Amino acid sequence: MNWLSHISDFALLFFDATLWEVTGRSLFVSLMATLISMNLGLILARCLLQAHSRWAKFFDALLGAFVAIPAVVIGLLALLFFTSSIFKESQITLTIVPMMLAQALLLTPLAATLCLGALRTHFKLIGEELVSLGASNSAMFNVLIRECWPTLIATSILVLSRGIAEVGTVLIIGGNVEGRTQVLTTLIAEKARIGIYEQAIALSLILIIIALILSLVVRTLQKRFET
Amino acid sequence: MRAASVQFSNITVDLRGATRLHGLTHTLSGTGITALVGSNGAGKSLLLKVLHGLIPITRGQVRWAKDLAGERRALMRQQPDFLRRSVQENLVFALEINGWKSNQARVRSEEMLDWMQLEQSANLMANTLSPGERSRLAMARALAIEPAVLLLDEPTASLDPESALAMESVISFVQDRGTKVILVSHSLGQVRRLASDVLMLDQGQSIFFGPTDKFFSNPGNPRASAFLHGAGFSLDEAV
Repeated sequence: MNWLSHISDFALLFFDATLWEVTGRSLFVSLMATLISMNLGLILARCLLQAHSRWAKFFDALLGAFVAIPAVVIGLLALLFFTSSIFKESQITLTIVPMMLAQALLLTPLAATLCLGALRTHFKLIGEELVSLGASNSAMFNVLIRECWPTLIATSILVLSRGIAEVGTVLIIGGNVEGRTQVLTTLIAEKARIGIYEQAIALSLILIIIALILSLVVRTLQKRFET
Repeated sequence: MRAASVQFSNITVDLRGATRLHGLTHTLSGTGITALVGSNGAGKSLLLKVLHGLIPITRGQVRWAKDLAGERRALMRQQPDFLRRSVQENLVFALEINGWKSNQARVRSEEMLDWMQLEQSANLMANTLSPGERSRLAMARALAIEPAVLLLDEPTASLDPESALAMESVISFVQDRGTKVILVSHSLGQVRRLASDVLMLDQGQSIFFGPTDKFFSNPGNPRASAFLHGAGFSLDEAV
């Protein structure tokens, strides 16, 4: 292998506008999916926080199981949904909107499980005190959110990391259309499939750099929270 | 402040498969300080939480006097928890969730900080306070909302003797203003100094209820007498 050629390929890639367009699209899709899933996750966490019924426990366990659901399954379900008769006239398929929504669907169980864990931890610490002070359920939830915001920020970054690194959902629902639905992971898959490994590796490095930055942010937040 | 009274009839509380309170039936007067005494695990703190509505009653009922309906009750827990905010913000929060407007809450919190000699710590994070300061902050938070009934769970447990006496004078002052105080204490000296009546629990059952003088002179119950002896009290001895 000619390593000089690889390095020059990698360097040239940084001057390629398409790369930045694809990276930007990747970040946008995953950021929006994270935003949606965190909101849904917090709503679910609020419903389950003080619920003790059998149904609540069952739903709690179900959420945990859905965390491990394969991305391609969610992609397939989303594809069937968005190609159904409801969306026949809407031209929504092969745009980033269903990609965002499908990814949000994939990420919501993870977001809800992590948010619920964080809220429960803080509820155990200060829940009884808040009730004894006379806090209503909504006031208590708002306080808990405020008390554990560093954990929730770290959670959203973990959710974003999972979103930006996944390929199954966005490939199935988006179709990897150049200039429209192509994101970093689908582009890597395409380059690897047609044998342009140098570019696939270079793109992977960019993905790794993004993941490292996100991980660094999580660690910094956790350290700050601990102090 | 209004006088309040609380009547509880046949209160039974089951927790985790065991009965922790067995059919307690008493009427506490609307004024003065009622002390709850007993060994560890007797159910004193549990009864306080039941009275505050934190723990549901399995059987029986607690009936507050009509003039108390809608009045505020405050509980100072043995190990109080605070929000990850400053000392003053903790007070402001407690006031705001009890209906105080933001600017009024701030003024009231400053008054309470002055009273509890915490004004120098107003901007410190509450969780960095010493145990004694935490107790004073918890008391300030409980009193800030001007409760008609004050439920205190060992308020001087983590205080040095001087601070404990200062806290006792606060409790007396509050009681003098008409607030009903229900106090859990392991310090029988403190009970003797402060309480007007005593309710003694033993394994979730009431074994004595009556005036403080009678409790220390002739409780009329062998277990209560043994408890007093064990605590270094001889009957009729003033401590």
